[in-house]
Amino acid sequence: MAVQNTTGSMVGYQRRLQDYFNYKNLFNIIGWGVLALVVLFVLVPAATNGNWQPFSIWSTWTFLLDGLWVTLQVAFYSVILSMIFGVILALGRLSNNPIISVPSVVFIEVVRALPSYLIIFYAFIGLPKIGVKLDAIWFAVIGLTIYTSAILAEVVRAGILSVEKGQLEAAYSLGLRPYQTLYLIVMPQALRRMVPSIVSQLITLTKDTSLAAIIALQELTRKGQQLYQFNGNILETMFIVGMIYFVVCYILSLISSKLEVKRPR
Amino acid sequence: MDVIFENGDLFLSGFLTTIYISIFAAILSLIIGIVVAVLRVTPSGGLKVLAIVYTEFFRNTPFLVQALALYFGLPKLGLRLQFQVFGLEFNQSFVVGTMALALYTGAYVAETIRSGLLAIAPGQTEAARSLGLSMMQTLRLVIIPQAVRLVIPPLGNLLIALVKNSAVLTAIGLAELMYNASQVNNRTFRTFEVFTAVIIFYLVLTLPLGWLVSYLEKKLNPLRAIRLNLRGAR
Repeated sequence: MAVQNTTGSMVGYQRRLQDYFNYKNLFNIIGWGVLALVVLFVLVPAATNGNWQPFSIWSTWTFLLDGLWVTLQVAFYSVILSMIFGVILALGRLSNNPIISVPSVVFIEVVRALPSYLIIFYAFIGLPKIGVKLDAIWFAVIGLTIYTSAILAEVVRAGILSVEKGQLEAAYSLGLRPYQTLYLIVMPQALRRMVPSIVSQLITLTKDTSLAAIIALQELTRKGQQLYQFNGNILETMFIVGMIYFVVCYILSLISSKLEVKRPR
Repeated sequence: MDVIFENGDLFLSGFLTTIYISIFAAILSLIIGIVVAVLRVTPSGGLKVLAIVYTEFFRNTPFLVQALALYFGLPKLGLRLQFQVFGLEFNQSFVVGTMALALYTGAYVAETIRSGLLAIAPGQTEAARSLGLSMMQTLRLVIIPQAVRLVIPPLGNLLIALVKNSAVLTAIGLAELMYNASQVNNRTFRTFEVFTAVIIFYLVLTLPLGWLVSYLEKKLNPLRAIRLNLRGAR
């Protein structure tokens, strides 16, 4: 530019002006402006309306936390059961015997392709027809276990396949039997690599427990529904319910990212 | 079997609704995901905060809660979302269902795209810059072609998850496959036939998609040199 050739001080002055209004700063100013507008016109009105009043009463919270307890129970039982079945299915899929491996593959592929909601609902509707009488919580656990075990089976299989072949060869040449190789050499290494994926699946599972609300299980989402039908403040209630799930899931995802960093590469 | 054929029109219309809402929501969620991912990697402070809040909130709360809140909450704010376009009627369930699915999946799409961009080794950018390419050229010629390869298979998985999640929209009264099947079941009590049919319908939708994804995965990233560590919505 012509200005640059006249005086040095002008150039410095212009540079500083340019720096101040460069595109980064402009983006930043626009960004914070948008954020301020959102806070001013969405968050402030949302936070100051009278619909939050029910949450100043302790019994509202105990009502919701009862639901959270059921949610956590469902998640806990489902994850334990689906870990067990997941390992069995993964070993079944890796088996050399087609009588074992074919049904495992079919089960895993079919269940993974279905909505978890369909499986829970089918368990709830279908099992009583063949004479199974249980509490609603167990139908939720059965449905979620079927779904999650198929997914964990794939995680476990990937973990087992990720163990280097040399490990197996070394184990066999040391004279270990196949099951000894599995329990002493392969599984300890595979499990360590699977931990982050398993925790991620646990997060999905925790969110999926909300689907049990549709089969009238008294868990967190169902309690939230009852609460807003009583108080007539759906957005606020569902926000609080969502935040409770958020806290649980966020703690799990923090654990997951911690474990991921520690994993040796 | 006769239950299925007698109510064939209900099954078929539910099946089509599931397909339509999946297509609409997939396109919307891709747009949302790209915008949010760009906001998260640009140096804009305020918008970055919004993008982070959005992704973390929608990824860590159940889809059912979001769908219920949107469906019953938006009319309370005075928003009635139903309209007719070209003689096609989009009712409240369909519009809000599409929005909810798109918002939920969009958060995952954003994370997928972001981690795809971040997975490109910084040496690539540095090399491109030192060869004299401008920032836009670097993005256009070096980073995006590599990122797209990495991102397409996980996006395919998200599409499958989206189709599966659409079943939850039964709870807001959207007449998709699951909802219509429940209606038939309530009327006829032929649970096993009805739900076997539903299972087959979902398999017809999701299994080929799954095969396509694994084919693309092998085709696009044969070495799997860079593993994307993603939390899928599945």
